Amino acid sequence: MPKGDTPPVLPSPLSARELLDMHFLDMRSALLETAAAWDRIERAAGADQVAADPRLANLRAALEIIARGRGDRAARILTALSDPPL
Amino acid sequence: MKVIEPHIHMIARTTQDYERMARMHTVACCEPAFWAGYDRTSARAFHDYFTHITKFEPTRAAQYQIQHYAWICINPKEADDLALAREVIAFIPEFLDKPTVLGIGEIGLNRNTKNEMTVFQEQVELALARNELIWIHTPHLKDKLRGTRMMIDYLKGRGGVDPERVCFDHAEEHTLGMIRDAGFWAAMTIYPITKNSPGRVVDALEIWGIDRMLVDASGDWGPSDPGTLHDAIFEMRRRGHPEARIETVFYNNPCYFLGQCPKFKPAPLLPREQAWSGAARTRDSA
Repeated sequence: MPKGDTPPVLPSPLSARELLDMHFLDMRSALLETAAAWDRIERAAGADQVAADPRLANLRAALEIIARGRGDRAARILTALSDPPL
Repeated sequence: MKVIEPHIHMIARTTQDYERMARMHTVACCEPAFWAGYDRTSARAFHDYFTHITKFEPTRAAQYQIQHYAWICINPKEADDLALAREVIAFIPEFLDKPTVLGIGEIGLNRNTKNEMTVFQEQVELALARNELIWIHTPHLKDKLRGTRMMIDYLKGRGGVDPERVCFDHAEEHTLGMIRDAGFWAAMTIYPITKNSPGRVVDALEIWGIDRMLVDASGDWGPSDPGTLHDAIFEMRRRGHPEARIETVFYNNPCYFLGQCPKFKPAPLLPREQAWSGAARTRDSA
């Protein structure tokens, strides 16, 4: 399992297995909510007009970050969804 | 707008929940027999439980002008012990005769085992012999797809089962199609994390239509809330659905299904053909 890019200052008191057990259903639920909302948008009138909306492109990029199997996913997603620094 | 809660375990809820439900215009609720959070130690414990949900809960609900109904069965989670299950099934008819009992439920599967299926079948036979309505629990999470298919295949293969008198509960996106294609009623449970959210329930109503569809909160001793049923009502309003359509989902439809039992008193506000006509997939301005 790849480690997160940023090493923790305070390591989790729980093991990876314990954390997976704790969070699996929440993670499953969050993915389902995202999938359902995406389907809802695509079913609605005018779906073609928002297909190229940059927000959807950002979400696709975020999903790739989640699936890529590297650490710091949350920071990478937030960075990808941020305006670039001046 | 009046609301009916088709599935809630009030034995696990406080009196304040009855009060909240009444304030949210809930006029009736239905309590299927289920697992207590631990395996009961004897058949007598089931007898006590059935007595509680057919005697005490209707009295408690009546204080808030809510009609309380029950379904009786041995639940799938405790159905793997065939001897115990059969001991319980033997006295189920005594409770089916009670004035607030609507039928056999929530029977079904939990881990999709052979013994669970045997007990499911034996309770289906009891229901058919007495012409009782049937309320079916579909399994949780990864077991749901297979278990739902197993029960549909059994009921269709057996023959002689009127799908109008059977409701499959806890349906989600991957099981709704098979339930509806077979002609059964489908109920969707709004339950945090492990089942549906209000948004996904309204999605399903938009995709499939409102005919033969029920929505429930299935509140129990877990992280659940009777108010989630009303969250779904708000979600339908927020998306612009007309009040008449919302009322059909949350009041008329329970009357159409549950009213097949003559003991169920609430009456629909209009015939179901009228309530369902044109309302299934279209957005209107009513």
